[in-house]
Amino acid sequence: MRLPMRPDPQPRPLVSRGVPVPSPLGELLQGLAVQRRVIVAIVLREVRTRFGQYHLGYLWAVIVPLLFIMTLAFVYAALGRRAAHGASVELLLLSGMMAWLTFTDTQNQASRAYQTNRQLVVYPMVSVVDIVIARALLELGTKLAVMTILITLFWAAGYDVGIADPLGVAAAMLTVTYLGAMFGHTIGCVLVIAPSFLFIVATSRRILFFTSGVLFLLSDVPAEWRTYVLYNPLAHVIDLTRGAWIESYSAPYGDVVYVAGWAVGLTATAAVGELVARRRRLGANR
Amino acid sequence: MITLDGVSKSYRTANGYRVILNDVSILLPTDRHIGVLGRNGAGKSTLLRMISGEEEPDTGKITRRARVSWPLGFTGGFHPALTARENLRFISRIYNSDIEEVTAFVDDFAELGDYFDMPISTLSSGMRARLAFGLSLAMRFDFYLIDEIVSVGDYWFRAKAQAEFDRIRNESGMLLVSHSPATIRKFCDTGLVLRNGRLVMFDALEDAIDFYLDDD
Repeated sequence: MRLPMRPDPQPRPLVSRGVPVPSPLGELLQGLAVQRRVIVAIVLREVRTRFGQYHLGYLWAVIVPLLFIMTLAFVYAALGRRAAHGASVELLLLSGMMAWLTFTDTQNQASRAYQTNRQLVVYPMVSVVDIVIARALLELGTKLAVMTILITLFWAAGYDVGIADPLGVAAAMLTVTYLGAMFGHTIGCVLVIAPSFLFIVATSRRILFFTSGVLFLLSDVPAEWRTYVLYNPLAHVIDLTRGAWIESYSAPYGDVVYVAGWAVGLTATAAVGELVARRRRLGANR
Repeated sequence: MITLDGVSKSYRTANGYRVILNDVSILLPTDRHIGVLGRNGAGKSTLLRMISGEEEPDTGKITRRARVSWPLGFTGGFHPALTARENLRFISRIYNSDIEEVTAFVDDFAELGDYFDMPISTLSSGMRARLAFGLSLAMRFDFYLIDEIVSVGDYWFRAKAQAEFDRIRNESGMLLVSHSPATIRKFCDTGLVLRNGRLVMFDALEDAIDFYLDDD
């Protein structure tokens, strides 16, 4: 006996069976509450997986920038390079390095958010964007803690490393975290679509680092070169970081509007990347 | 209640597109025991993953207004470097379940012993299966998604698992996909047939089975 093929039932309004249908606003608030819960859970989980069972993990976060600053300060001293604008070489390196590391580590974490958490796609409330946000928050928190420890260490060693404008430095750190997260998420989405683009990660990092001004002050650069260096938004943020950190330095090159433009642009590329990559990611691990 | 609204899904294969769902709109009541019959390769597992939210449809929308489980028996949702206990904490948090309650239940149910505090990567596949099954029981989902009935673990675990399975069958709805009418007849009260990109619902289970067997 062949049964007649009947049409699929059309979806009816969801009013039956005692399931309350939330209002759009209620739904949004509920969604935000779920997202907050998910982000907190991911942060706690990341603390375990990243710093792990080895407590040395936390120590590394302090040792890496400290070694970098000490080595370069030593080299600069050997070259006879002097401090500028009333700030020590150590302070210039410390301020530049903290902004740079926050950017690059956030970017690195964000671009690998999906690769290292593929198993999370099975949970419908977890999105890759949540992982990126959680990682960026954790990175910012870690870097602020590291910064506090390093300032204390340098202060104890007799250096003048006090922050003139703590709010300004905090804003700069927030900015590099945001830029890192958006740039990193863009890269992460590109890698889902075209894994062969991995080389751009390492290449872009080198170019960004050497033009960021971690190793120099923008006023030390010849004017014709400075034009090119100032295409790098990090050069602006690092200049602004130093302007806020160092009382006697006024950050003559840091342009807030230029940085904001990059923030908006990277947000757009990350959003487009997310839309394109989302479909590729889901179901890709089967 | 789960709504599929104009849902289409297909996969690209070497010989063109294989259509799993073609513009399907259907309401799935989450207080029923729904059996989905389909032949091998019809896309039953893909359908299950889409209902769970693990996979997105190409077009259309799936709305879940219930706590829907991940496909039962799926063990890939654990972080390999974290211990079973740490994984349970994380999953309890995202599902807003009581961490202590879930941990106590799964510890007792899965019988991992010392391995409860070992990284997931060191667990045998049987241990992982018991852990995943225990966890999905502890979560007390409204609606369980089951991809064939498979037995996990040794005989003793099977007896215990059977008892727990009967309990969730009384307390929760479920959607069971199978190619076997006997399985569907045993566990379900509503029948769906997945065939040629269409999902056809029958009020009477036997009608669904007849329709499924009539495919030639």
